[in-house]
Amino acid sequence: MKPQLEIEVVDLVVGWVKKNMQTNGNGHVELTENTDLMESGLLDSIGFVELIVFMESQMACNIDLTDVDPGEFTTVQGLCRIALRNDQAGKTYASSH
Amino acid sequence: MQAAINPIVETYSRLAKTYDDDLNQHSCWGLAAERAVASLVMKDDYQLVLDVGCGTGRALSRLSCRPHIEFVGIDPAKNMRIQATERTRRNPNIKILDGCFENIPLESCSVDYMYSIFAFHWTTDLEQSVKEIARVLKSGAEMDLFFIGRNNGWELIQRTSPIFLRYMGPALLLDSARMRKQLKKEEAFQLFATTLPPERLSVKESYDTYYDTLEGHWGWWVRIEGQFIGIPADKRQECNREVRGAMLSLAGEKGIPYTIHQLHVMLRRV
Repeated sequence: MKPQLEIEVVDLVVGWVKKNMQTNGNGHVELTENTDLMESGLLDSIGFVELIVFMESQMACNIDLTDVDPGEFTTVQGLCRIALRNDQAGKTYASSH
Repeated sequence: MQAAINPIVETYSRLAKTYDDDLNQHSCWGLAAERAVASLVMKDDYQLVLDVGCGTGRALSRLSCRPHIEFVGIDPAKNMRIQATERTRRNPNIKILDGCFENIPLESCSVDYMYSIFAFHWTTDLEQSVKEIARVLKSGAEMDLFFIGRNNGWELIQRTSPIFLRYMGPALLLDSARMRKQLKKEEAFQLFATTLPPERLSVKESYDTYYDTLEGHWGWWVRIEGQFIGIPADKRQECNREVRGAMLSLAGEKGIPYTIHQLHVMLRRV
């Protein structure tokens, strides 16, 4: 079922990152919803591309990153909020057309 | 309809005249390319050999000493082709043509041996490329493709990605990442096995860490500049300064490390 709540999306994303994170050169990095995934080296830019594809498929929405704040983009919580805003905007657009 | 401009091709074309500069050729990428070319074997029964992404024609001019073999080099970057044509003008058995993995300007079932050195990861369409490769190869043809794998340059990427994110923003940074098709070994095998006989295919993976000075590594930066054209011109110098600082922060006793994750896809006769 499509995740609707922020906590559900966070769980999904944390699970994906744990499975797909880069292990090269990383010591133990504790993954929380506020961990900077890029600064910590857990995901590179291709990893982010793959994560966005995963989130779009799970949430059945397009995630538009234009004008997104880089600081928000690199944490699990930030990414989930961006995705949920996009999902909401998509619903609003669909109901008004 | 006009074809969309490919920033990678445009950048290679713009930088073609300086591509063979010593700093680039003696860099880790130059050395890795030399090793790959040195491993290629031209067999007497080959009639047509194809170099995809031939660049300035260095590999072609080195391999084409067998006059009975016809060599074709293709490259989508116009000025690279000009350099390659100039370099190989004394070799009547070499032709340089406009082309790329997605669109190879040769007849079906015409190529005995295809090779490519660090070009396949720039393809814009993986599926179309492997279809096109299969189309032009004769049955029983052989192939050696060298390209970068998923974990290429991880040390540098970890340090520089936050910098590029600040200068490019998330959308442009991910567009830039999508320009590189960096596969894992298993993904590469599965991709090529969709159009080529799996029993004749194999993929070899290697990780080689090269140590160099800051200027040594900066010498190959021309190879990847096309990915960063989204950075505003007035910010580029500042961004480069930060990237150079990030490179320096990696320096150890041996120098600044850069790990090339190489995939080598081979097609051999049974």
